[in-house]
Amino acid sequence: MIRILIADDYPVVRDGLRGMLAGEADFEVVGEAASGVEAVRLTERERPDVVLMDLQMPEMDGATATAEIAARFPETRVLVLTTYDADADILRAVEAGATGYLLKDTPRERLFPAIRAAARGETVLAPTVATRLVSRMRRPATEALTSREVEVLELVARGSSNADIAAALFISEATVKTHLLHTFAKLGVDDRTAAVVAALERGIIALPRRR
Amino acid sequence: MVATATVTGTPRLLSADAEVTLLRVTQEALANVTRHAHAGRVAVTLSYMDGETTLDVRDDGSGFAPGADGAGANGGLGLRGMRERIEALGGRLAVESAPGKGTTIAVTVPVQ
Repeated sequence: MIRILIADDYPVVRDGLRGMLAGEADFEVVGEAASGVEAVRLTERERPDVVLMDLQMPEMDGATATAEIAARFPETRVLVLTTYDADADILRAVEAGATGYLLKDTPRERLFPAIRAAARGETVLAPTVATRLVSRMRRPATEALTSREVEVLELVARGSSNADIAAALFISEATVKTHLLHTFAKLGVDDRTAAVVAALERGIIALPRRR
Repeated sequence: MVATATVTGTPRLLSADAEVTLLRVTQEALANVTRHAHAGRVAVTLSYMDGETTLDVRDDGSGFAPGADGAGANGGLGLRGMRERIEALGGRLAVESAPGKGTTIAVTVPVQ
């Protein structure tokens, strides 16, 4: 018996899923949650095998709830079931620890095996989602920054202006700007704040030490 | 006067034209520093980047108000000649200076 928790803020969706799943002898719906907070609470109480998780929900979204469930109840698998297939949504959910990611247009003959696979801990991805993840991985990895570009970015992280950076490195402001443009392109960002955030996230630079 | 030279990025061969021009500009800029700048320090920085190479000659000397002499129209700095050579390569030459703030010659040339 696979014990299932349905988390979706739309009652119609919950009813529809419950009705669909009721026809399968090995499925038992043990609860319904209308928010991320409720999903976590019911997971704690019911310890379901699989949570069918919507992403857009009030009071804690699905990705945050997924992260919390993955951290606190690792034996419960989260299968995201959503209408959203943007790269950012997919990545957030997968990074949060979702076992699978399906779209709400998934036909029942695909959904049922996916729930069983998720219960066994197998990764299940909608074909479009799998394609997106793979193509994202095929994209060339971020080009390495030169040591000079890292130097410039470290100064930006400390709040230096282009003139400050030019003075510190004893070069022109024009060349500082050129370094920054190349750095932005390599990091895939548009401005200095985003560049600093991206470089911190990827460990290219460390937070400046306080003096 | 303390003079330093720095290379950043991965050095690669430039066209013979570009190499000769960068060398001449460097010589001219250093000559200007010696003649006019009363500088304590000068630095030449050659930066290899994707698709372009930059050359900076920065000093901490007396500087000047760009515009007054910046285009080289009044002679003296020979900037016009340098700029023409760089622009012939599809590059740019800029002068950054202010009285008392030193002078920087900034050159960018595209990689052919």
